Amino acid sequence: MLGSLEISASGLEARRLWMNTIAENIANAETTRDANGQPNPYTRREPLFSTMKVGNAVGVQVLEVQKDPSPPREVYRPGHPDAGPNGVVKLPNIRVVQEMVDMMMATRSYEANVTAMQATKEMGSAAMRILA
Amino acid sequence: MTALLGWMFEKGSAPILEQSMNFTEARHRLILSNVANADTPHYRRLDLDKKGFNRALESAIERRREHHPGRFSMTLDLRVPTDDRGHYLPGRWLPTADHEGPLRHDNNNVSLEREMAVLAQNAGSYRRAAGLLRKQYGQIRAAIAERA
Repeated sequence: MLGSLEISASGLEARRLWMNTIAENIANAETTRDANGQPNPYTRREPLFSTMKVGNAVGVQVLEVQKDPSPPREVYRPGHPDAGPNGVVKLPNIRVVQEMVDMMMATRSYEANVTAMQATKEMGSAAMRILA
Repeated sequence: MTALLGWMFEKGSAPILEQSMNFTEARHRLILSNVANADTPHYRRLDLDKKGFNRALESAIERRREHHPGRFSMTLDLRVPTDDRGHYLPGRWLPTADHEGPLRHDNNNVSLEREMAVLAQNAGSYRRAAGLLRKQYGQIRAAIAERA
């Protein structure tokens, strides 16, 4: 039964990491400069999930946090300090609506793992009560 | 004395409940795996053959009725086979990768709704078996303590 909790815990951990990257993406949806102040739009990040052996069942892990290779959004904003000569600003390749949808999926999966953990705990205490 | 104890614990439904708890626990772990991997690309849901298990359990009970009328002892091994490191072995009730259900764009066929339904069903079977086993051991204890 303890190994069972480990499976769900790996699921929770992966979803929390996913939420972190979503939060980073939303926070940086308009970031046009890097940490050194150079014009360099932020790149969207996304976790890569893979299976992981837990005893005789399968947990989940985040292999790496990948950068999304899609090109930056180009918006015509001639007044922007980072606008090119043609008035076009390169913004991060992040669409906030997509991030919100991902966030809902991550929340849903997180809750499912919490519920599964609850069921495991109840099964454990049912087994303990056999000899109570 | 040991024969008596063996008789007590192999009598009635105890061995059946025990097998059933073994199976549902193993199945529970695979359902947890499915829930944990609901967002993993290329993952296919895992499951044990519940119908096959139920059929085997049923025929074991039938066999017991025929061979030991009036006597309830039963040797029955319907455990999910594992190797010495505790990993499931293919074979009986083998944990199959299930190819049913629609594949999503990420090549994953886990439906969270279905997994939660199966989880609730399976956990219910486990709890019921544990409850019945508790009742049965309680009766033995009551008989030992000579109280009703």
